[in-house]
This record gives sequence, C-alpha cells and structure tokens, in this order.
Amino acid sequence: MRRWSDLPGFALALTAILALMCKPLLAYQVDSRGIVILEGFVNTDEQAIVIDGRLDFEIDAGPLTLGGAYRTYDFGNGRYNPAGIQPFSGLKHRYIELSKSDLTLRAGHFFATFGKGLSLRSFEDIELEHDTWLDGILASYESNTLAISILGGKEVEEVSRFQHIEHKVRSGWLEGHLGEMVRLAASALERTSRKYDDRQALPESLSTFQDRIYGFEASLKVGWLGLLGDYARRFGDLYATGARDAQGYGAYASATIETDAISLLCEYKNYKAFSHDLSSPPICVKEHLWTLMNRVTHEVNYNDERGFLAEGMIPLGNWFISGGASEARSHEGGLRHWEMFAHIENSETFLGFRSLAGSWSREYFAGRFSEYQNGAVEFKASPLERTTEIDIEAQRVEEPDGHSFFNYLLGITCYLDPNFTVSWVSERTTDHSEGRNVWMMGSVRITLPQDLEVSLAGGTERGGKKCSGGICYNEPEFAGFRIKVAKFF
Amino acid sequence: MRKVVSMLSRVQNLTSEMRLVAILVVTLFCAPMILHAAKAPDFSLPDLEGKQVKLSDLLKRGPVIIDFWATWCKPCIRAFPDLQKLYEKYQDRGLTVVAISVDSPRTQVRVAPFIKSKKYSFVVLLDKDGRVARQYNAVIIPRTLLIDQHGETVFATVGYHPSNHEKLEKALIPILPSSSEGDDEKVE
Repeated sequence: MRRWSDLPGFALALTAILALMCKPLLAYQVDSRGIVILEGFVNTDEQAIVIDGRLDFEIDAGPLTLGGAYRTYDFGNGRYNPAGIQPFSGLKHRYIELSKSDLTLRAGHFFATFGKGLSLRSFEDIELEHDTWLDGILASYESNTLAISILGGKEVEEVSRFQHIEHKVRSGWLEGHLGEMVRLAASALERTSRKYDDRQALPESLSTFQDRIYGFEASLKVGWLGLLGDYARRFGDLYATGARDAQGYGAYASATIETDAISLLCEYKNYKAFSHDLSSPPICVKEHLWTLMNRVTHEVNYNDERGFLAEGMIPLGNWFISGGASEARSHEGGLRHWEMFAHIENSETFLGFRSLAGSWSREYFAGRFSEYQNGAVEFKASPLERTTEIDIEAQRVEEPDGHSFFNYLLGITCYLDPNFTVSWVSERTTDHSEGRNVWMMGSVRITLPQDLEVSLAGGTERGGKKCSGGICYNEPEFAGFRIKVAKFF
Repeated sequence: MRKVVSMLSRVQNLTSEMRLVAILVVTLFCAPMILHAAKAPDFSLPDLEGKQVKLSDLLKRGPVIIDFWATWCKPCIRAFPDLQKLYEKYQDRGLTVVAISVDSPRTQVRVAPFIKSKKYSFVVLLDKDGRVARQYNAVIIPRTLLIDQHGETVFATVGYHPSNHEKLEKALIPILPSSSEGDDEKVE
C-alpha cells in the first residue's frame, strides 16, 4: 500500500516529466474555446426540480488538442426525468488529439462516421440525449484523393436502470476519389457486445454477441445528376433480437437532379436484420419542420423494412413549391407506412402570408393503421418595425379502432428588440385520454453581451415524439418553469 | 401557486441540487476568465461538388461569415434569405459567406437540392460528422460567426432573430478590405 508521504515526491516527479514533455509546446500559442450550458426545470405537476449543466472545452497547443465535456444531471425525486438518463456528475468525454497536416491521431473519446452510416456512425446529439462516442484510439489520414481511418474502442449502451451492453469495436475505412466525379469506399467492422446486469451474473453464452460488417459505397456526380449507392452485409449474431448467426444486410441508394427549374430527390432503402446501436442508416422519410407533423414521423424498422422517398422542389420567383411521397413495407410485402406531403412558401411574405404545408399519412401495425391529416400555415408581419411570426397547425388523427380527434397548435413569436424575443405556444386536443387538453407556454429569450444567452419559460407544454436528423425521442409533458443559460467562450 | 410555495418550502432538502448549481455558476463565470478566446480554428471541408474548401484560403480574400445550419432546422432556414442579401451586397468587397451544413449522413442528400432550388449562391460546406461544428461550439444552431482576415472572431450569435443580419452588417463594415485590396487576392 502506498504511503501518503510518498505522494509529494510522486507528484513532483510526475510534474517534472510532464513539464519536460510539454516544453516543446511552449513555442506554440495556447488557445481555448468552450461552451457552458446550464438548465433548471421546476415541474409543478411532479413537484420536482431538475438541474442539468454541461461544460464543453477544447485547449489547443500547436498540433495538440486537449478536450472534454463535464456534465452534471440530477432529477431529484425521479418523477420527472426530461433527459431520460440516470443522475450523473463527472467527465463525460476526455480526449487528446494530435493533428499534423493530413494525419490525425486521437486517444480517449472519439466519434466516427463511415459513409452513410450503415456500418458505423458513432456520434452525439446533445439535445436528443443520444451519445454513442467510442472510447479508444482513432487514426485517420485524409487528402484530396484518399481517406483512411482505423479505430478501436468501446461504447456502453444503457439498456435499463440495471442493464447495459458494452460494445467493443475494431474497424477500418478506405475511400478514394477517381477524378472529380467518382468516389469509391469500403469498410470492415468487427464488434463484440456483452450484456451486463447489476442484479445478477448473466451466463457468457447468453450475454455475448459477435458480428462483422463489410460495406461498399460508390458515388457519381456529373453536372446536374448525382448518384449514390451503399451496401453493407452483416454476419453473426443480432443482439437486438437475440438471434444467433442471423445474416443481414443494409442497402441505400439515392439519385438527385439539380437544375435551375427543378430539383428532384429519390431515395431507396432496404434493411434486413441490420439494427445496431452503432449503426445509423438513412431513414428515407420526410422529417417535417412543423411540430404536429414532426410528431407523427415514421420510425424505421432496421430489421425488416424497404421503401422509398421521392421529393420535388420548384422555385417560381419569390415562391417555392415542394412536394413528395414516401412508402415503407416489410419484406413480406405488408405495408408499414405511406405519406404524401406538399409545401408552398414565399421568401418575402405575400400580404403577411409566408407558407402553407399539408401532409396525409398512415402508420400500419399488425394489419391495422392510424391515419394523420395535417395542415400548417405561417404568417409574418412587422407592425411598428417589430417582426411578429404566427404559426397555426391543425391535425386530424384517426386511431386503429376508428376513434378520431383533432390537435391544434398556435405559436406566436414577437421580436421586440434585437436582444429580446417573446414567444407563446398553445396546444389543444379534442382527445380526452390525456390528463390535460390545453397546454400554454410563454417564454422570453434575452441575448446579453459577451455571447451570453438566457431564456426563461413558464406554463404547460405537451409531450410527444420529437424527431431531428433521423433520431426520435419522446419528450415528457411539462408544467412549471425552466431557465436556460448558455455562455460561449 | 400553492404547489410552487410548497415546493420551495422544501428547499432545505435540495442540498445536492444547490451544490450543483453552485458548481455550475462558478464554472459559468470562471471558465471564460481562465480560458481566453481562441482564433477561429482552421478547417477544410468538402463543398457540394466534393471539392475541399479551406477557411485560411477564404480569409486571404476578406472576412468570412460562418453559419452552421441543417435542413431540419427551421430557424436556420429562416436566416438564409438575409445571409444571401448580405453576400450579394458585399461579395465584391471581399466577403465570403459559408453555410456549413451539420446534416448527418441520414439527411445530407437533401442539402444540394435544397440549396439549388432556393438559388442561394453562397458557399455551402458539408460537416457530416460535426467535427467543425464542435470546434466552433455550434451545439445549438443556427450559430453564426464573423471572422476577420486575421482569423479573429469579431461577432458571434446563436439562434434566429430578424435583426441578426443588421448586427452582422454593423460588425462587418469596419473590417471589410478596400475594394482594390479585395480584388488583388482572389481565392483560387
């Protein structure tokens, strides 16, 4: 056992070694940057106070970067947990990176995306509480014609309060450009996943899963035409369903046509036995920018789904018209989802009118379906040189049992001053299955000098699904007050 | 109101929360004092044609407005017409506007058709894994920064506000190179 009296000597030796190691760096200017975000929630319905704070920082010294993220999250009595995670306080990320010309070496936490994310996409979305950063080593080389990445690391996936899965990953990516038009890439990935339960020891034969993915990607860009194809084959166990030696695949293709008169986008997907915490393939579904439409976004089943999305965009002077459709089926042919949507917008506003959007969709489950009809209109006016924006949304929902109801949303935002914004959002539903049928939330956002932002909100806010960038999460209902402070430095 | 009063009366039981608040408040105010603002980190990202564009090359021509956005971000899209107007007004005096898309691989395919159909002519770059967005603290978007020719950030804002372009313009005018200087150094 080390004696306490040894510690000063040990610290002195360590400092001397570090000082010698860092001496060459003293020739460089030391730069730093970061952001502090502090959020506080007072939920009056649940009698709960939630504190959420985060500090992200990076310190540069020549080719070296030292970075990390400190997070503290506490939801008190546990009845209201907006982040959906366990209480946490400590370093969430820490890393050191060496960048020299086209070469990067990183040790500690890192993120990586290979192609369209079929074989690997390790990333963090702070707002959606999604974090699949790996902890290990990443080496990458990137020039105008060639890109190579080699990595090894592990990620911990929280399954429940007592269970988690540890994913160990070894992977490589090679990408080459043939001229300016053609790009080819290949990836190989090996994963070992093991499930742990804090309450009991799980037998290794039941809790360990292994799989391998080999992928290939090609893209072509010729003038107004862009084509891309991505195919990955998976061998081994599928831990998401518990199936042993379940071979699977993921295929994605897209075609874009961009001319002055029209832009067209077509996407195709085909996924079978392909779900994994570290994969994030394209969804081929429209993610709407309006709250009620966004709330009914289709969620892809990566173990059994194929489908398409087609969308067209036409500019007509100040007007902009877009529309499209998407469909998804199981491999047996059963319909899972379809949607049609359209949007017309004026970039300058026309008699206060800014945009109008509509969508009609169905989500199928076990041979039955829910149907959604949505409409949204936006207005903008500037009385007394103060811009005011009004959003009105309506949604008709028909449930599988034939029961139907309406949802309505009204949003008003007044930009009173260059540094002061006031907003009001109210929602109403004719569905009586929820505790409330009216929600009203008022908020103010204040921009202070020195890149400091403060926002205060109070009232009631309806919960529901929220999708952004292909990730969906369920936001709990909120009643009370919240404050958010963000400081950039 | 009764609920609020009842809850506040339990404040003496919230020692752990209060401790966290104290830590964060100290961090909030002390971190910026310890950590001094950095120069805008240089980066190289592909444009919509796949060509690599480097910030340091753009700065040789004049100041650069960097705007982080995504196709799924409504406030980001609302700010684009004003950015386009600023670009058209000052591009001859050396200004470059760079809209860096943080769309993931899942939604990145929508970027080019969207920009083309809206007829925006500023530079659009793709940051598919968010590496550059992290360097610029763009964890909340839209995040807009104005970088002068020396690489110093002279203005930064987060979120959408109709008057943002006026603030940007006010900060931009003093740092614009003269027309002749701007014409001397063209970006290749």
